[in-house]
Amino acid sequence: MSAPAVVVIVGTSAAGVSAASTLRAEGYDGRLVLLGEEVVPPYDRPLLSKGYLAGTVSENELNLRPESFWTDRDIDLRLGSRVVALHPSEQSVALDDGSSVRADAVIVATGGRSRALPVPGAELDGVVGMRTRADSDALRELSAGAEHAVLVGMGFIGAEVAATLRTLGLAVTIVEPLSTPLERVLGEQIGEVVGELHAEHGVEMIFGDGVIGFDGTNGRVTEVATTSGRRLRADLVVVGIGMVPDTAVVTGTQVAVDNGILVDEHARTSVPNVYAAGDVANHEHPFYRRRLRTEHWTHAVDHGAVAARSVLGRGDPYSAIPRVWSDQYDLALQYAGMHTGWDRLAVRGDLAARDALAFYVRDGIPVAAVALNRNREMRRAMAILRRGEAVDADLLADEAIDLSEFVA
Amino acid sequence: MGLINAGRASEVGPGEIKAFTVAGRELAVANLDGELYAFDNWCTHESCTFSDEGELEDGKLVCTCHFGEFDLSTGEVLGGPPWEPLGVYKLAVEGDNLLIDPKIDDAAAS
Repeated sequence: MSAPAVVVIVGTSAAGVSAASTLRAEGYDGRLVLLGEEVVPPYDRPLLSKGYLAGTVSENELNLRPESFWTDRDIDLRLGSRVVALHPSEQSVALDDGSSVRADAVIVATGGRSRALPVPGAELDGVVGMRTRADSDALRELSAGAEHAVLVGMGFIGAEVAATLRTLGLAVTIVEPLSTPLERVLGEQIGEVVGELHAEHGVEMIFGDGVIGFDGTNGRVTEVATTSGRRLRADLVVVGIGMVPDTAVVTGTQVAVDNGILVDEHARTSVPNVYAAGDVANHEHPFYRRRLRTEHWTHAVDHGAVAARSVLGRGDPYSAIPRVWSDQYDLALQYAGMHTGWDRLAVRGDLAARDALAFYVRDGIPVAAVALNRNREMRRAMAILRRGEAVDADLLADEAIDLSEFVA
Repeated sequence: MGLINAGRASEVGPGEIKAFTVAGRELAVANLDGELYAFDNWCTHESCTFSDEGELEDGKLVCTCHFGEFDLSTGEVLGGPPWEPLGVYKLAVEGDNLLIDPKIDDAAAS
């Protein structure tokens, strides 16, 4: 298979940048175009809710690559270029300014958009999401003069934004429909540990309640109304209730879409020469024998690389164990694996002291793990998850036994 | 500058990564199966040190904070968030003396 003459990557996301970097690292010497809808250079999204929001990470440090990276590698980075349509049969993509770009292969890495909260007042000033650099800039500006922040949803985004806003001195109230932070991923028992951490830092958490609307004065939010009848004072609101894959560019093509762009284990879509990677892709996962649409940053980077190799007709099927980190206050939280429920939580260490590693065990098989300030031990836990074999959960929970013994 | 004495080689046991300050630079030395390697102690991604968060895994250097992976000898990024290669340094052992050249070994990286 000969390499395509022109590869176009749509989206300056972590996946898109990884794809571009990998193509050059793999020796691709054709024309390489990276199209970004935003006018700012590709940035490191995880920092938006943490260091960049806190003001401790500069614009330069936020950039995924220095400017020289693109010129050194002859990558045609075009910012402010929104792709409006793919024309795979004509080997081109159409831009919003009416022009088109030749594309013998296309990698779609458009990521997603913040899920909107469909309630009255959601359009008021002061109600923001947390996905783009513009979101983080807006929130930083809002937080400067604000006292009370209300966060909607306490997943990773809500929890991280809460931690950062607390360090900036704002009073933070979170409204979360479930009964603990991060309950969907981590379950109640670990979720409570995370909740305790936030409580210690003065975050007010309201669980089992939902937001039904926002009120404002002069177009600016002042109050949040909840299902249970609470009215919360809000100088600003951050909505963190997930994202929706941005599949707009493949509308009108034969590229199959179902909760993201459907791709195989080599990031190939249903249309030849069209690939998709990162948050936007719903990918076959050989290890789990099902499709996954993973929203982790690590996945975006790995998957972008897979798409790049696939364009060149190379690479192994993608079957990485999902993994994510989340730094909140002095807690380094890591989660790896994937569960669809579990019947046993095998805990090593002290959950209350936030020095622990726990396995989610289903039918005797460890399917996921969470580490609280145990990054190093997580490496061994990941090796156990990768084996996918039944393990005695009592032994797994026994700190006297080194985890490496389970993979020896 | 050439090789200068950085400490004792026996301080770094098999599988361990220890921090050393050499000519004002904070370096780390890893012992992989008896072979010693010197490199910058700070991961090129974000605020983590190998002496605290590093692991040797399948012959690779791993920053366990955010899953970065490096080649021990060349500093090349093998996986994860970092993209900048890690600075690596020439190292020699004489008796128990750990000798390190505190100038980045560009030859190893290329």
